[in-house]
Amino acid sequence: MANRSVVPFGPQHPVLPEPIHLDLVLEDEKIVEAIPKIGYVHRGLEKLVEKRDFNDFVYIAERTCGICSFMHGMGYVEAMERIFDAEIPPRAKYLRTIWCEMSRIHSHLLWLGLLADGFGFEALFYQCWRMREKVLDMFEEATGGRVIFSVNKIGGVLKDMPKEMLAKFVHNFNEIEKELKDLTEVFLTDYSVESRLRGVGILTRDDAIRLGAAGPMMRASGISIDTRSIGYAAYEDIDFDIVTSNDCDSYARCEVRIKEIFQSIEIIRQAVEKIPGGEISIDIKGNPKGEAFTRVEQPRGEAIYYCRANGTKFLERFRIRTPTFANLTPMLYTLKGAELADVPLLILTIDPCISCTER
Amino acid sequence: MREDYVLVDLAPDMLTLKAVKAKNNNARLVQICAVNTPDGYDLLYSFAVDYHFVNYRIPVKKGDQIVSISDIYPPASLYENEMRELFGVDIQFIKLNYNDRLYTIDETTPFRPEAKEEK
Repeated sequence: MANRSVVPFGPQHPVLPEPIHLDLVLEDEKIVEAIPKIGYVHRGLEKLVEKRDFNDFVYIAERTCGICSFMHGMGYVEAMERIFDAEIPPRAKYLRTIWCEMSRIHSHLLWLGLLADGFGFEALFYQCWRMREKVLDMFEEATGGRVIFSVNKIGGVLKDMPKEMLAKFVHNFNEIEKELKDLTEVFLTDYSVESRLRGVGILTRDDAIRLGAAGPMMRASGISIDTRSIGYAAYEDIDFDIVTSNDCDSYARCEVRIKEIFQSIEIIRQAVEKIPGGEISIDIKGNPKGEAFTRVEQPRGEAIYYCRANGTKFLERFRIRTPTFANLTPMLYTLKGAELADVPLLILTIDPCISCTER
Repeated sequence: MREDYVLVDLAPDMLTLKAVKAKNNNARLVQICAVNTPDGYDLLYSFAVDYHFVNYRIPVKKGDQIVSISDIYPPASLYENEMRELFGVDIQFIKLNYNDRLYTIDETTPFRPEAKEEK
């Protein structure tokens, strides 16, 4: 009979920059069960909505996460705009779309870098993060921030991007696209990378649905669902195909994310070409009353926002269901049967964001 | 374009049946959350089939029990542990039960209105 032992993993681990703890039950080197423990950085941000003016809460919603900050702010304001039944100006929708895709690009590049670091390919890690810096530079030029942008408001956006800036950004993304093609070659064809990712952490299509996977984790299992297709912001005017893979393994998750970066660059090009002129926000008067759900496709997958308002300036409830929260159960499933040495990479392939998850 | 979704009121004893129906319909569990009400909670269960988004609002009085759907939908365990720990919702038969230790927090049910204010 195999030896059974329990190995604690995290919350601090050299490969994992996220505070999650797992008790890994092993039979020799094989994992038979993984019991998660989160909660090391729970901040109770959702509760703060009861004490902050609903207009000011945009800035708190944005601080849910340092990577997906723009989209958390946007998810909140879109839910509030739904309660107010407010239609924001078309230019604001396009600006939000561009910033969403810039967020996706820098998040995916960050993840690719962490993945490369995870399997010890440091040169690749530096290249990914060097490219990500260029996206953050553009964010800084457009919004004044590299992590927190504070450009969303209920009724539109607070900052515009002039024509010259948009043209410059498209030029910059064309350059990034060229460089990324070289990196893609390494990620998708290098023997050492493939050997760590191929056939590891299989999540079949049925299991992805049963276990409630979200985002690239789900699309890498052959499920063609991308919340952008429901047409929030300006996505209804943008042509794009959903990136999927049928391989269902860690390699597929890497492939989907890389292809999504190219797709995001194409979406930015389309948005810059189609962006209309005009106002960037409308005035919203009065206090909100009612409730609304909105869904946004974050870099890590579908995020759900729920707001309930009672006619005062303080909301009764704000709720975020983050994609990492949804992907924890599928991640635990993929760990069963895996080798101990593959655990860090398997956790990385869901692109975990625990600060989002704990809110 | 603004997404259309369904929000339906549901009696607590209908939850398991609806969850089984959703499962048979190949729906995925999207989220579960609790909202405080004057006499208890509203529990919101969201399911989706492709892009079709359906939400059930279940009013639960404080002290009333509700049965877990984690046997039907394994991911429900995490959501149910969260509701139990932050709001004090009495959920029975959670498959992976953390017994109020999912989050490392000192306060008991910190999201309830009667929770102690931190200075």
